[in-house]
Amino acid sequence: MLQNRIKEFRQKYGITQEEFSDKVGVSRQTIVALEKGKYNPSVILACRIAKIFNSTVEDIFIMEEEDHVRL
Amino acid sequence: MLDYKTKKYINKETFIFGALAFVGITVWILGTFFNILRDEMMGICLGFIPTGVFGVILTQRMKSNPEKADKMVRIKTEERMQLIRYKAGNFTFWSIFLYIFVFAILSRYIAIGLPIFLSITLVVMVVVHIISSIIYHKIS
Repeated sequence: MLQNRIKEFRQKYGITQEEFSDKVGVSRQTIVALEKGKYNPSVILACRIAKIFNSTVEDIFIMEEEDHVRL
Repeated sequence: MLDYKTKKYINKETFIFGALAFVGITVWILGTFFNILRDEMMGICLGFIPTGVFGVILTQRMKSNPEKADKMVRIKTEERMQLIRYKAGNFTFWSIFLYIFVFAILSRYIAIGLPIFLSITLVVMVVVHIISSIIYHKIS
């Protein structure tokens, strides 16, 4: 599973899970699952989250070493 | 003002529930006035008419609170829910496949008729789907 810093960013911006879910357009349960690292979001959702935090997808979602493709 | 997605969802649900009610009424007419499989038709229409009518009423009531309706539709159609529904559906399919396979092998030892077997299968299908949906909600 992809690690992420959603909770950290959300707390930094001072928004609740409910408010954040409204902004992103998903349910609060999805935010909970995302923060716990139980669910990998789609590209669109990841981009939306990054945009809300004025950040990049790479800043928010951290890939494990084994997830990287060796080129 | 309702969102486009919400409007589409309400129209789709109204059509489905309306179709259920229509089938129920048709079946009732066939059973009552034309005497075709009267008892069976009564059973079918008792299930279809209330489901269809209440479904249409509840769906139409969504229009009175657009904000709540938008949120409801958003939750129902979001990507995680779709994934859960897909996984639960897949799990239910293979579970029922296995169940029928086992039943087919053991059929000579189990003395029940096809109508009862099909009725039990319908119930098992719903139960398996509900349980798998709950499990996938918890783990994903």
